[in-house]
Amino acid sequence: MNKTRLSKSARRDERTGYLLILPFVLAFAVFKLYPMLYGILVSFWKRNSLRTRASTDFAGLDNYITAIQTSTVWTSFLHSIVFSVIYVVLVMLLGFIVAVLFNKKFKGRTAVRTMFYMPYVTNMIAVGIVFKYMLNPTHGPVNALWRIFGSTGPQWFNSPVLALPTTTVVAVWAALAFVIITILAALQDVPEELFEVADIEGAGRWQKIRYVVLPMIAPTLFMLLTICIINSFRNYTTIVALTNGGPGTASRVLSLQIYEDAFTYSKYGVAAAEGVMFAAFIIFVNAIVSKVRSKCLERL
Amino acid sequence: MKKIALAAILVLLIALPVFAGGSKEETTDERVVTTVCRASYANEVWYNEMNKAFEEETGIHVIVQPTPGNDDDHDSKVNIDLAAGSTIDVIPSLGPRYYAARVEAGFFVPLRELVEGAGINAEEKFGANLPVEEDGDYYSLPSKIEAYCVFYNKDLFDKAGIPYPTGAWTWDDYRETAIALTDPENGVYGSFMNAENPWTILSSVQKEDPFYTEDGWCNFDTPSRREAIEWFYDMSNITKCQMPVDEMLNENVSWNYYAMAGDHLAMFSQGNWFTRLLNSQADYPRDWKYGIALTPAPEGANNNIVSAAYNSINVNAEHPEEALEYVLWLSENQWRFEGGIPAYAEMTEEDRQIAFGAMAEASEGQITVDDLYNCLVNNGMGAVQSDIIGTAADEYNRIANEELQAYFLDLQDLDTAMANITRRVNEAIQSYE
Repeated sequence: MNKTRLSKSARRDERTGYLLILPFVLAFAVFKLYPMLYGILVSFWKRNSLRTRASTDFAGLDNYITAIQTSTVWTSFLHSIVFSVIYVVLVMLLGFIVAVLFNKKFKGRTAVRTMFYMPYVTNMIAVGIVFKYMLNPTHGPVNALWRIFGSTGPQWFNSPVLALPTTTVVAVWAALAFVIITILAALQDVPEELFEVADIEGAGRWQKIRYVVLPMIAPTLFMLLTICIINSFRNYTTIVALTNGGPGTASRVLSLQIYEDAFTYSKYGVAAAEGVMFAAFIIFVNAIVSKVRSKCLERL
Repeated sequence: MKKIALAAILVLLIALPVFAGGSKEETTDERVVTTVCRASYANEVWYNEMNKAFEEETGIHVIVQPTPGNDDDHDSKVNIDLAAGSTIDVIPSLGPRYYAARVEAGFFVPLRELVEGAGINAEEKFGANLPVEEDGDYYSLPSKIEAYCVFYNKDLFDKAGIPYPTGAWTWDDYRETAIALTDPENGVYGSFMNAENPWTILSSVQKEDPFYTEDGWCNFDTPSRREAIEWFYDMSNITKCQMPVDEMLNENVSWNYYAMAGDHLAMFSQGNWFTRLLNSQADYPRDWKYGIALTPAPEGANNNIVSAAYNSINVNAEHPEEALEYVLWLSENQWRFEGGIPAYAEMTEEDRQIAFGAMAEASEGQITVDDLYNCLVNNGMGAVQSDIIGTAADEYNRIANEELQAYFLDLQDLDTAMANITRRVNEAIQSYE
């Protein structure tokens, strides 16, 4: 539409629209865009000690090379991937199963739903304290089962093998409600008639899920998948609350590495380079998910 | 028109908080000085009484900004604040590691001229405790020193029929005593030491084994360091007379653990600052008696571990004159309120009575002024500082703690731990500018 042909009232509406989105645009520019661009700039500056905290000397790719050559960065990156894979698989699978169950009517459904939603509004540090007590090998109620048979049971947070998966499961428990609510909303939009047709066709429970439910809620599932992948890498609070990266470096993830490099060791340049590379990786993963999503939705 | 007005009001309402910076602190001619402290200090009686006394004496109002979090959080936040150009006047640094990094960063005002201008000869007054830098100046005045010692549970010694430790002793003596005191059936450990620097490498610190090579690289893997670490491993994992590291992790052991759980821990290597906790029945109720003994020493290295607290003036201080008055006053008085040891070159009998009298009195007869003086100051030992100081020191400290923790948990052998520490610390040194 040609702008010059807009009526006076339409132009006024347009101006009002711009004014209404202005606060968001301003806040986005000040609190998101500027720090993001500044972070990218810092990754090219020699700013890796308290003494050089304000330096704008150009470092070229030095910070990126240093980050790549640091063994802990790679270990932390690997741990982040492990955390992400376990998190995304579990949260999507469990979220889907529980949402399908919640979509059916049963006695006490409201109470059970509320119980599932509660972790989502609980502070992660409080969650950490509770789980550290629950999974304590000597005093915790979970390991009481092992103590009956004379063993202390698994060292959930002190074992290099179990620390990261245990932490991930706690993160899944805390995040499950969001996935359940979103899938449940999508399930409730599936027309009842489709299930009636499926019944007439003689479809079983699994066939209904495969040929009715999944195609209908696929766009929601892909949207959730993207969100879950992004959230899985935002795991700093969970790790700090439960293991602080230990034992040794067994559950050290990249978000913790970046935080410590920047704010504990004042290596702002290296930390910014790590952050930029990590962000690029997450964008790359989501680009793949987006491609898969397009192909899958085309087929449906 | 109404829509535009409404939208404009909304924009204004949302944008206002962004630009609302807060008013200036002083609205009158009142003289003020600003400082930061750990959150735990803000509620401590001594800290508030100390600032009140300063205010009464000088008429300068002290504005304190507490930092939430633990000690490491506090220091990181202070560093970030300073790096961002904070105008806080007086910056305290506990221990030489953070102090040295801040001096190197150029955060502090050189004090020699200012202190001499106030008619004080700091070198004479504080002696070796004054941190004189390579440029010949000093950037802080020490407010107290902290010396290591061993606290012990007299009840557990009595129960085991073992005499209390007196006079000089070695780490081998300590180990034998700890083994004799350990009673697994009743959950009693003969020893408790935090599983981190410097406790995991105590004897090598006492031997002054350097942490860096002459050309500035990691020098952690030395025979004396290995000996110290293996000794700690033996105590925790073989003789099990020291609480093992996995149990510490399960118990969520923090720095003040012994004050809460000393009823089943016979000996505890810490420093004089811990008397404050042991004497506080309100915060740490205790139904057992404690005593104090010298820090054991390895053969041929009769040194105790000593640390210090410093106060400096920020180069961006908003009230530099008041800051100088506060720093000078703290160097004379902080130890009196906190119950610490003055950082003076020489302690007078009066200083001794003030410093240790309050601690002894608060202990209700469990320790005496002489016990304290003889263990902490007049102990015939030399002094070495506990921190790793040098390039990437914070990272060095954390890496050593992480890798040694994995060793004590039997997740890797000592050779691997040492190789990992050396490699990772060298990477950290390389990345530091």
